[in-house]
Amino acid sequence: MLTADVVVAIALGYVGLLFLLAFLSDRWSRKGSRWISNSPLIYTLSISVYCTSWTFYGAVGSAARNGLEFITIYLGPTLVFLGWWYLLRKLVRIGQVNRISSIADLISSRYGKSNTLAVMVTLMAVIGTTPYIALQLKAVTTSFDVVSGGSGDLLGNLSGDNSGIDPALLVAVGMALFTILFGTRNLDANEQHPGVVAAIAFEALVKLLALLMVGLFVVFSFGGLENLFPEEMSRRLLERENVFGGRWAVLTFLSATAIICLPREFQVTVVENARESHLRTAGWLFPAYLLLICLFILPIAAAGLTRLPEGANPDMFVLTVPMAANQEMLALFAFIGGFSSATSMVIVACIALSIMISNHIVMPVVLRLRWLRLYDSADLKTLVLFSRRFSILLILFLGLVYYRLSAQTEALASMGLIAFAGVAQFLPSLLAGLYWRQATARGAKLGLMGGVVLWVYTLLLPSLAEEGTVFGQIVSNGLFGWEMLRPEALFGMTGFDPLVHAIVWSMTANTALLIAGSLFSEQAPLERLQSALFVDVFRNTPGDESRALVRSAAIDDLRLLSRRILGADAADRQFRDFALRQGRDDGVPVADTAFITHLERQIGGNVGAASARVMISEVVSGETISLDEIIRMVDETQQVIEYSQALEANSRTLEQTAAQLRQANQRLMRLDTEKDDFLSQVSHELRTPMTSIRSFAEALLKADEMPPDQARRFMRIIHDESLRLTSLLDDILDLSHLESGEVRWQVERLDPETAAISAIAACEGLAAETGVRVDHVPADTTAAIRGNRDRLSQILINLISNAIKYNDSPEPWVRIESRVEAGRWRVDVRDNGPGAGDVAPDQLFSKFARGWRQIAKGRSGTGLGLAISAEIARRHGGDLSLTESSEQGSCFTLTLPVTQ
Amino acid sequence: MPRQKLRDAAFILPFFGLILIMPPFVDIFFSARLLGGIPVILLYIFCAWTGLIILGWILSRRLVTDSDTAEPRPPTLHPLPPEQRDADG
Repeated sequence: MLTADVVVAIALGYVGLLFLLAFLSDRWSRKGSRWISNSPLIYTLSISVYCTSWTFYGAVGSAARNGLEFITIYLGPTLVFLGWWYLLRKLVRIGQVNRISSIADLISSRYGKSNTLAVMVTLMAVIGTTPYIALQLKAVTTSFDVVSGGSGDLLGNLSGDNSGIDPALLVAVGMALFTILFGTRNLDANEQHPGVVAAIAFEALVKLLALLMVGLFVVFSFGGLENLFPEEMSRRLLERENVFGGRWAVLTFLSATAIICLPREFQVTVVENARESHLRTAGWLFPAYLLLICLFILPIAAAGLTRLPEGANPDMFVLTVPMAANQEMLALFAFIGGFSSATSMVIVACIALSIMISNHIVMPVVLRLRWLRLYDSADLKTLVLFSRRFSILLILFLGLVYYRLSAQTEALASMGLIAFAGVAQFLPSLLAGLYWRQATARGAKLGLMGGVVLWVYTLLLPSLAEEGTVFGQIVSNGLFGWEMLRPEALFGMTGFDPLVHAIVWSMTANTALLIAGSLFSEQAPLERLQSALFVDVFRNTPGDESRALVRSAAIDDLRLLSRRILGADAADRQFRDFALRQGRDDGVPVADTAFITHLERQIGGNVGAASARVMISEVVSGETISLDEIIRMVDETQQVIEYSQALEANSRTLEQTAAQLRQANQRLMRLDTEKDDFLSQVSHELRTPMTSIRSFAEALLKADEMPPDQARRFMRIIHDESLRLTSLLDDILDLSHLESGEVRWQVERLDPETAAISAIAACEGLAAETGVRVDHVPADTTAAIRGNRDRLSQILINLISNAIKYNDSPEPWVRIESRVEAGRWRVDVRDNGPGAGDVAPDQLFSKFARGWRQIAKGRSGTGLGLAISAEIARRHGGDLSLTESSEQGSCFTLTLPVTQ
Repeated sequence: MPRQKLRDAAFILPFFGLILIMPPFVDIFFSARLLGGIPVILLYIFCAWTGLIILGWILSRRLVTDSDTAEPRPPTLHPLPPEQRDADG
């Protein structure tokens, strides 16, 4: 059995480790080592401060009680992080550009640096977070009780009353110390705390490992999933009425909202973010972390329900299941995991809240007090740090008080979701601030107020109400006894889960008031400027606002002010850097608008935008905000968008044109090669007959005494060759005329069958000479086409004579078959010759195609016949093609459009 | 994929995820029956979840943020000299 002392010693050792880790990381980063801020992994792990002890212990409890519902708490954030490119990236960019220090600062900055809004958000955050801190303290105490064997008190005090040291108090003190040491060590304009981040990243690993270990233990100790999840257990856990109803949707929505709006989440995701590109990793790795957290929740719940006696607290299954199996070390590790999740939440929540309280509540008050004004020499930096430390103590004290007051009731258990619903009220103002230019401060205030009032009335009040008290009266009978105003059935909206009911009312009212308020109020000039800066954060060039916001100040006043807030060293560095940027080497910048704006941002990073504005206004004279300039800024942004859209469209057109040009170029290159081929072929073709003419002519000239027979034979050859030459030249001329479209022939309406008949007649002599049988199968129906009879005959004569000439089969035949189909007259010229070989069809119809030459080798003909025929067919709107070709024969098909 | 399409995909992804985990689609798999020792509904949710993470991972490797490569800003339109501006306005 683990004793209380051992557990305390181990917990203290663990806390010591955390202190050491934070201390070392702080020191490294102070020395300029950037590995913490450079690591997207550490950034992602730090975001998992989302998983508090409410997750670590509560998820299993929720799974045992409500089945699958627990998983919505992790699905919502998954969706938000998967969409990081749109929302989170914009938040982070705005946070970095404007040196945003908290969610209150963000909302207040966007709505014209309104301090009222900042105070409202801060108060709401404190109200929502304090019970949550109490919940962590309670979780630590309860888990301590369980793991150390039931004594609630420490150090051997077993008398049963509460006079011993409550572990909650120890935890609170320890965390206060840690947070003050590492969270308020000094003022950093970026509000980044590498030591804290490293520690909570480590804690994130510890809690994940602990949960996974317990899960694996459960699965293996049961001998696999089959034994762990018999079907009846699966039914008991999962089969519930209406799982995927309104509550499923609302919980997903709430958790998605919480991952943005919870002050501690905003702190780690936006404020502590060192690089926008870390989101790229967090965008998928954080969902993966959540998935791992959820992986074994149901198995642990199932194991608890099977192994532990009826009535065991499901919220402690993570501890009690290993303990029931006598796995004390595992239980201890699980306890450390739960301890990690509680402490990391407390630390980050305290830092986030202390920044908000000191910036938005303490500083404005201080600034109103006469004796602390500018010309006093009081060091404001120390004051800010002091107020931070005080705030941390205050928050932890409040948490502790709340825990003490409510420890005996069940009110704490439901606090997680109530807190989620509370911070969800920030969402409408936040989203409108990021995406809606016209949202006004009036609208944001109204929306926030309405949402919070309804949240308190419909959710918080019923959770606190007990039977018989005033609150209890209100909950059961309605305010002033009006049934209509019953908090859990407002205006007669009954039949809903209380949470769904409250969310529907508060979010609707919040959004509606925000929109209505914005529509019916005007933006102040500063608000309009800020809205342009926020909504168009990706398009504005930094420093743009100095165009619209013109002011001047004495450089000495500025120096004094910034030294008081930033500290002498940091302030002097800012001045030196900016002077360099302005191109001045004396180290004294000109106090122009850009510099004042820059300085205001730096100061705002420390004390919040609203306070920074008040301070700067003290030393600035002649501030004017030019509305025209703001409008122009917005317009220019619009122009840039349009311009880039136009550019995009242009480049698309250019790409298309380039593609067309590439195609045209390829075509031209092909034509060029074809032309070269053609020329070389033509010269070759011309050369053969010329050579023979010349040689025979020479022989005739030289031989004085030539027998007349021989001379006659020579002259016949010369005659034949010159005839061939002429016909070749005729063909070339014909083809070139055809291709250039210069030939005009007479077009008439005619029956194509007559052209076929005359072509067959023309070939009869040749056929008889070679013994080829020619059959004609005319079409059943007559058709009319428009064309030139002689030219059509020319095509068919060419096809038929080729078929006759090249036919070398023992029983040669040629069949001409025509028919009308699909509005075209079609004629097939079929033969049983050797076929066209493996010549590509398009080469067959080109001039002097090489393949054609191979076939036609040693035969008469110019080799242009098919090219000419194809061209004539094309000019008739028809088509000539080789439809069949094998060693058993080939078939050329000519089709021509029929006219009506 | 061109950059604009990647961005569109990044915009769609969470909504796609929402559709997967909300009724009516999630209702299709609502069953406590076991498949390899795991309840069907649980198997579905974890599979969908893993699928989304993988898609998110693929997208995030391709999406370029400004801080990775100094993405060229859209060209600033040349502001008119003051006197011309007045004439325009």
